[in-house]
Amino acid sequence: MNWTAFTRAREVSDAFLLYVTRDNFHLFPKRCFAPGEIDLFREIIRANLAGAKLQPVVAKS
Amino acid sequence: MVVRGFLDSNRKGCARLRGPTVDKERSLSLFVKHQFGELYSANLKHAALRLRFFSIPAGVILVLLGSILIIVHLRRSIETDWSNLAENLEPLFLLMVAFFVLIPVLALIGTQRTVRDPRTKNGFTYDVSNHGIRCEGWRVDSI
Repeated sequence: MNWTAFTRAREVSDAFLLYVTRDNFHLFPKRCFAPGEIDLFREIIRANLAGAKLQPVVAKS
Repeated sequence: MVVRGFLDSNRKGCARLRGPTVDKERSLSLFVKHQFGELYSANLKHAALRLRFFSIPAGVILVLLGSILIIVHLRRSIETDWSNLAENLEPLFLLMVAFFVLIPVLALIGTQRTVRDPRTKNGFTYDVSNHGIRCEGWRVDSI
């Protein structure tokens, strides 16, 4: 699926929701991600999906 | 606003301006096997967000109606007009309660339908990259 197939993205406390239509979404639970992959996932979504409601990426010191 | 619009419509130019890190291919592979609880939680949150413009005023009305009914019930000496009003409002109160009960019930029905799907039982493999998301709904090794 191309990124144009997705209408919006939302991040909740324990998962990411990628919407295909207003009522259909793909659910990505955060427990399925390896350490560091959540930030990468956020970056990819932000780069490709305008208006995604995600938490800010935590800067690594 | 004009500049932002121009840059949005010219994503390649934008990426070049921002430096080489944006052009770098980034991808990740995920295997997702949904659990009932997280599917139900996501469905419930989705339903609550979708219906928020109706459920917030409905919630306020529910609280007001509930308060009136409780006051009238506790203070039996209250005037007959108030008692009549409370009697008339009771069906509306029950309708509002039914609406709020219906949201989690509908989310539960939707979740049960999703969980019964064999593809959900086997899990999904997602390949996420800047090109898009590739989803394999059937893992060969689990058949």
